[in-house]
Amino acid sequence: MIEIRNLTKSYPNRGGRRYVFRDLNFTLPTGSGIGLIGRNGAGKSTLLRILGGIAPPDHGEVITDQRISWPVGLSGGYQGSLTARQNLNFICRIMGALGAEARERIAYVERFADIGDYFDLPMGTYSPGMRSRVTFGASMAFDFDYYLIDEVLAVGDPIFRKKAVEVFRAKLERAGVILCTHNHKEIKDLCSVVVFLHKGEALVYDDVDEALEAFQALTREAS
Amino acid sequence: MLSKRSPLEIQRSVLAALVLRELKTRFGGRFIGLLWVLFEPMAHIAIMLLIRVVLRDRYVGVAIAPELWLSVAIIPFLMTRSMWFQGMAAVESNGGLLGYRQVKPIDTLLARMIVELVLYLVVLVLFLSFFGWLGDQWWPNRPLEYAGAIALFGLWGFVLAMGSTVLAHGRPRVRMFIGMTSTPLYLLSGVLIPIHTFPPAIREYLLYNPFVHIVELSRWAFFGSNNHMLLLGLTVEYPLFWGLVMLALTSMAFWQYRIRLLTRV
Repeated sequence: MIEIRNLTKSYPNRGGRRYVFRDLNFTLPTGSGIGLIGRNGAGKSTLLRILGGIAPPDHGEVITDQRISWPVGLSGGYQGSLTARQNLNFICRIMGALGAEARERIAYVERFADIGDYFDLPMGTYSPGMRSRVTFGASMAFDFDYYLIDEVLAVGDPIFRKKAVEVFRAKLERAGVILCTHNHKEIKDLCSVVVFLHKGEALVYDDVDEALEAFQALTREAS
Repeated sequence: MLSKRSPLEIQRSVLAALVLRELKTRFGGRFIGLLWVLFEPMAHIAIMLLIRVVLRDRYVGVAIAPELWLSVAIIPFLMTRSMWFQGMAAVESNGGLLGYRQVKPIDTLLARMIVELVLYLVVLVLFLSFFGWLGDQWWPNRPLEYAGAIALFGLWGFVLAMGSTVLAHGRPRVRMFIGMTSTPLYLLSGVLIPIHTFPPAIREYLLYNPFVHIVELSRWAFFGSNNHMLLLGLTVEYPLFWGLVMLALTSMAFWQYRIRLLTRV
């Protein structure tokens, strides 16, 4: 269960603070796919980052006993002058995986990314596709209760994408996902609960179709 | 499945990971990189020694081997400066890592403090061993007091790093200004020019610089013979008291800024 209590978030900007949302309150059930929908700037990514513990809220809290991942495919945490192996070693260390356990996970990413001897070359020399193979693999190497996905589930060539989606689906048998996307097909496929963010309010729908309907109604209204 | 860890365990593993990462990035992943990391402070010290000892004078005002007289103070001082500047840039240059919830801004700063401390202690030991090999004194006469002086240098490096991080976050011009203040602080700290060679009227003002006190303290602790500290108005209390006050203030400022530091500007 993830409980969101009085969550308020603003960003300082020219001419004062801009509030993304004020005093959000809702509860998400355990073990389900959660979709975040809303128009651009509605606060989807911000909410995702708060859930991931990266962006701190102004006040209010996220109460949970679940292990929530970093955004899948996060690429900011990789140093270009270090190899994939060295970068992954760092992630293993901060996650508390040491020794044999770390080697095992790194071997898993090495197999999964399948980029040959580039795995032991500086990551700055990788192509964007190779990079995302490693970053996606890194998220898959750890077991979380929830995986955070901001827009893109998997990138790369079709063969890798197919493999990535397969691995991810296997993960989802034991874990949940918090997905922020404009792709309604993905929401239908993966989510059973939808949070619809609009004008600083959050509406929680247990029925995915109903949520997507509400979103489409809004889109029609706008056009 | 990894087990749940306490906050302290998490911070410890994050620090260990960051320190190793810093070292790896600094060394460029090769053994030769280690030599380069040590070479930089060594080159600086060697050039200063050359100017001080060969070009300027053979006698530095005290009856002590000038290379040793300079080294015992300049190495810890350069450590402070390195802690200051490396620490000031720590949060910004590790920005990407803050995407992992385990890593907090203070961790990136602390990791650099540890790295600089260890690096310069290695440099110090190497220098002293080299002088010892040449037949100079190599062990401080008052080892505990000397360690205390180094701790004071470290304390000031840490508070300057924390304070500057807060002041310079998202303000690149402030960062430049902070960079400029370090040069007068260095030249007027008594590291290169002994404090007792300044006229008393000027010295009175130089004593506001806490490094003047710490530099002379480290020399007194190392050589032990020239106890002119009290005569010159030098005290341990001054840098210690203000160091601790600064520690309290900058910690509070850092705590206030902990959220803003997460936002990249």
